[in-house]
Amino acid sequence: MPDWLAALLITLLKGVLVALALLTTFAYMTLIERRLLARMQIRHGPNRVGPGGLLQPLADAVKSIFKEDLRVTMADKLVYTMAPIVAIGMALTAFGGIPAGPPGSLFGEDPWVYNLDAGILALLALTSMGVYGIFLGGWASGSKYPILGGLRSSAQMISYELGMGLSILGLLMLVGSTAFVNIVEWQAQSGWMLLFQSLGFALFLVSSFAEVNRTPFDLPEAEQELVAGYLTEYSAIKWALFQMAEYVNMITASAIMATLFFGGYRGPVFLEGLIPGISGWPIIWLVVKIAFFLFLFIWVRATLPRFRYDQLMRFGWKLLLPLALANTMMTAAYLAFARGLGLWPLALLSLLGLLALFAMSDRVRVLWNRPTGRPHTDDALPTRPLGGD
Amino acid sequence: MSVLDIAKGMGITLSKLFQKPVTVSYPEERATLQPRFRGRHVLTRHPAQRPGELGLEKCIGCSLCAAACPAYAIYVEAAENDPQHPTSPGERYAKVYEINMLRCIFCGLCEEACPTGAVVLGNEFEMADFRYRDLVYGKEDMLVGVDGSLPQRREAARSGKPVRVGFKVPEGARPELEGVEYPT
Amino acid sequence: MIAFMLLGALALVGAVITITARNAVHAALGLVGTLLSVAGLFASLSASFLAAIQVIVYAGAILVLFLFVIMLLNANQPITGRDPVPFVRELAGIGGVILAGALAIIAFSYRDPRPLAEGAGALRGGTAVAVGETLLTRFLLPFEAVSILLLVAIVGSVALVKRPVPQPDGLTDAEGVALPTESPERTAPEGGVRA
Repeated sequence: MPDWLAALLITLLKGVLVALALLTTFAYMTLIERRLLARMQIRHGPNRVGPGGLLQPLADAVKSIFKEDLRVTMADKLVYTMAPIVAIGMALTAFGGIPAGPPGSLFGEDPWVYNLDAGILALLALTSMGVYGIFLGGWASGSKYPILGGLRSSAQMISYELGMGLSILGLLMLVGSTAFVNIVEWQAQSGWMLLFQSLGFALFLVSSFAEVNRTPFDLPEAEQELVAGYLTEYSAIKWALFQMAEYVNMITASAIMATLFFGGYRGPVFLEGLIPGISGWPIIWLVVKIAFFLFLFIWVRATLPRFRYDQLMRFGWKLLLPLALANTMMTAAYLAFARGLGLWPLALLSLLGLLALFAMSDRVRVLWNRPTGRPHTDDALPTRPLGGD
Repeated sequence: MSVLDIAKGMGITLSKLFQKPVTVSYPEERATLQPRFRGRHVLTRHPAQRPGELGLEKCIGCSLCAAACPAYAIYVEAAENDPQHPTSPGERYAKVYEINMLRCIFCGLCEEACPTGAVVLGNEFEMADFRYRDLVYGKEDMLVGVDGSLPQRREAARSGKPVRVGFKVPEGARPELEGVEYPT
Repeated sequence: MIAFMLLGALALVGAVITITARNAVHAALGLVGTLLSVAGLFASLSASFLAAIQVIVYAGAILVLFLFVIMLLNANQPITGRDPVPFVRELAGIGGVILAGALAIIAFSYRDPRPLAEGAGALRGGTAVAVGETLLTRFLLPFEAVSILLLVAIVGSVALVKRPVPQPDGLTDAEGVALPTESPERTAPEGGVRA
């Protein structure tokens, strides 16, 4: 067997394994989420199918596969069918670039499916393509609520993608590379990026929630306003594919946060004293960190109510984006003028920025909480009433 | 600081995660009912004259319950008592006493209208069944001493186990429900 | 080479769809295909940074905005009837001929790209570092000029969509154009509301 064929087969195998792992995680994620949400609301959650409800995902899968696959008369057939495939395809592809261990640690193979120099950039590109699934699904349904959901999601995605991209610029400047492996190894040398970029992490966390359409940013599928948003006209397996895409995106976002800010596949070094070599175990650490962030997603969903649409937009543009820009400027200025002081002053600066933001949180709320427009005070200058003379 | 408020909210949800759920797993666990809960009717009897004998039925077949029923769910057909072996203390007794449980709205007006306290609303509620005719309950389904509803008794006969009602009344049945006992 | 042929063909197919599709959304999707193919071409030239940026900016943001507008205005149905611009077909024909001529000139003045290939080593796999250095040293002036151009565009668009600020005398119409005053008395200095 020629070398390139072997490499191709191994890559294919890894890709299939990752896809299977992601889909299994998705299936059980739905169960875990429902159980955890229920427990947070002092209920039991689904516990009927199998012991402790463990077979619930299987039952859901059977149900969604054998349900009638409805097609709306007004739907654009090609795009309507393509949209869920695009969504799930992009979601699955995006995860493949995240390393689960150092090079060559998976039985002599690299524990990632593909590795691009552009690393995080390629991943951002793929996730930004994921919006097409939701967006086109909303449009192709040929119905009012889905199109509103699709419009909302596209506006939301574009707005928060900017904040997301800008919030990691400081990190990229510190590392000087966009490849995931380099970022992780840099953190193994200098300490978790969370320490040096706490403000950047906070911004990235918020925009990740917005990017994967989770509460409190789940406006595209706001039940109370839009029936089910872009999902309204979908049923059966196509609907399940959209759900899959949402959850896989959630897993990917967790993995990105773990890789960029929490040391990726490397464990914390202070545990080395207890069990030598524990921080070098591949895959396990990444899984633990992903699990933590997934729990965070569920936890936030159980707690926070949804934004209003105008609040969402103003939050993204008036708070998140300028702050991300400020964070970038601060890091750049620090690297340009005070690099000799080491990294810890930067960590302090970043933390101070975050704390100042927290302390000011009542003040900045006005930025995104209050409708814009001219103030309607009684002593304002008289304007011509609408509708003419 | 509004961030602190968010943190407080997150803390509440996290603490609830470790709290025991308040959900009652109904078919397995018994649901708790209050004595005043209005469920299936019970046709009560007077206390027995001699031990080991059934007491006389309280119902005298006057049809006042049927007249009071806003849903027209009650049908009473009265007959003269046999003086030697009376069914009820009065002149007449209810030969046929039927309540259509699909029409009944469990308002309790029949109970208020009854001059002898014969028809009393009990606490049983598990009456779901498949056929219309099975939901028209007769005397044999409602007299004191009958445990459970028609489908529950059918199921018990099929499986050979005693009837198991899915609720409990910790304070015990109302005194009006003479001779009725519910699990506490 | 195979990748180039394949991606080039895909880009062409996307371009043809963009032009011929009756439905504006389909046309936009064709354009997405073209942009993605071009990103693939960049990637196959080991300019991974450029490829990623191409996808993020063009396919991920600009085209989404295009689609957004198409959906918002429900403009996906073809507009039939007379063209609002006179001689549009003739002008399009002239433009097409000029473009074809330019392309032909480029094709015939083909030079061996070997010196380019030799210089590819300096790109270091097209990482952000190499692109950034080139952009901010050798091409600093064009780079800044482009950013100023974008700034001008932003200011212009804001100025276009901004709602009129009510003037002290309240004599502007909805478009912010000053209303003609019929008589000097009507421009009441007390600023009364015109009924």
